[in-house]
Amino acid sequence: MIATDAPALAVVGGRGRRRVLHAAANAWSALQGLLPLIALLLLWQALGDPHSPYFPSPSTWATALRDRTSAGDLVPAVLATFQSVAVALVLATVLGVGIGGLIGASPALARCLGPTLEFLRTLPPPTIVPVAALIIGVDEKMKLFVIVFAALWPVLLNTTSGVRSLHPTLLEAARSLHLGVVARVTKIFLPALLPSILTGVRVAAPLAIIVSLLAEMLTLMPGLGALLLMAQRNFNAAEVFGLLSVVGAFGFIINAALAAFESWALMPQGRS
Amino acid sequence: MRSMLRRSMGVLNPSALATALVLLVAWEAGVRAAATRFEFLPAPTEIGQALYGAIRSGQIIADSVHTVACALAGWAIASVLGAAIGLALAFLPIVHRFFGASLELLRPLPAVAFVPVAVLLFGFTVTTEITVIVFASVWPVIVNTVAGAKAIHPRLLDTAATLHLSRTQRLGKVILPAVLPSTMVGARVALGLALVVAVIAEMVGNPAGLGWGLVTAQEALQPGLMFGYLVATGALGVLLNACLRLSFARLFPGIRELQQS
Repeated sequence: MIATDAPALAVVGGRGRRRVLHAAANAWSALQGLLPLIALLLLWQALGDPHSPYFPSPSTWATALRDRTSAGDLVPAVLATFQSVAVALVLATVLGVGIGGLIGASPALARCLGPTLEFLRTLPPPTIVPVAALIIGVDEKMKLFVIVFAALWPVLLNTTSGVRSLHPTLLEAARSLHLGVVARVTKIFLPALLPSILTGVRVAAPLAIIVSLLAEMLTLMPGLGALLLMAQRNFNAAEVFGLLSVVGAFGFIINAALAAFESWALMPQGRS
Repeated sequence: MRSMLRRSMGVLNPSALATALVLLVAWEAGVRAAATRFEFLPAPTEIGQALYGAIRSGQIIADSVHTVACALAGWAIASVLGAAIGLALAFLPIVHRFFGASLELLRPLPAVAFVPVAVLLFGFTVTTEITVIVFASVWPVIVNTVAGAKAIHPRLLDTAATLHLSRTQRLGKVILPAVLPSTMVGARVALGLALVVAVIAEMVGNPAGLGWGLVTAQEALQPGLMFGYLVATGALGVLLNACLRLSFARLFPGIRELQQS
């Protein structure tokens, strides 16, 4: 994204310097884009009333977050939310690739299960949270279940369409090489499907975060969502704004990590 | 029209119906025989009865009307706002330079996390719900409008310049007609989001509508009614999407991807 083909055109000697210049220009334009947000926060800090019940100034957010950290709430909450999201994403990927692969490979199975799955998919994932809380009970298992239920569909659908668009030559090559089942999966299917699977996972990640936060809000299980809701119930505006920025950074980092992982995993295929 | 007919035939094929029926019967039998270890899992017939009762009493209808009205209101605001922001980002370099990255930073903020802030500012009201809906569903409209504006053929803009069109004329006669289809693609994604976020906001923010009904049914330990709400929400999503797909196919017959997706 950062260094496009401009350095490739440069003479070999000037390559490093030009890349540095390029990166600097990029950083400057990003900074320019952030200026209004920074200006808003600074103005808010300068003109805002730190004791306002609705719009406390940004420095009070930091204080509120520091209080939470020293009370020992914040770090375990972030870790709890992260752990559920990560485990659920892995489970959803495994399940989605398995089921999606089977459905994509077998038209008969697709015809039988298609409409049922289609209905389950249209259920808004958040509505599953109260249902699961009543039927499974309020525990970690239920939280994992609802996140997996939300994150499953993008992976499943992408895998299915990936399997359907596999080039027939690939399958014929596998047959003429007499590959076993294991070799066929690891050498043909997984590499060919990797781009579609990873796209599905990237769509699924924000959904997983949303459902995880909602589950924590509704059941007050330990996590960022519960902290946010408690802060709101205590009318602690500074803490709400502070936690909101933590949640934003949380989502941003997870998305950026997945994007980096995707371009790293697709590098051998030259599709990054 | 014919392709739609074929679609619905494809969806309602006998083997699919049989599979769904077998699953439902297995569920019913499992609950009747008390073979599941979940004590609050209702049988499908129980769900049907509860849903029927809630429809007869008008409770679920009123809740649906509230949720759909809020979702539609938020969606309409988000569509207009998103189109305006998208056009500004695409055609005013200053806006793009100074606001692009800030918007990029706000975009991944999960809508749920926004609910407590809105509650703090507006209380447990409809305003909270609609604010959150607008915040969540404005993004796809912006992204698609910008993409559509980037894809305008330069010759169109050259033509506008040759014809000495004024700014407003250029906007109304060249840019808007060229961008509108992709804005509409974004708006379709936004409507699905708006409904989901309306339900979320009702669960934790504004105590009304389907989301609140679902949570109260859960807290009152009425699993049948709760599943009834679940089915109603799912059906509503399917219905809204179908309406939108039909009206878009009618309005923009030239866009093929709309009919496919």
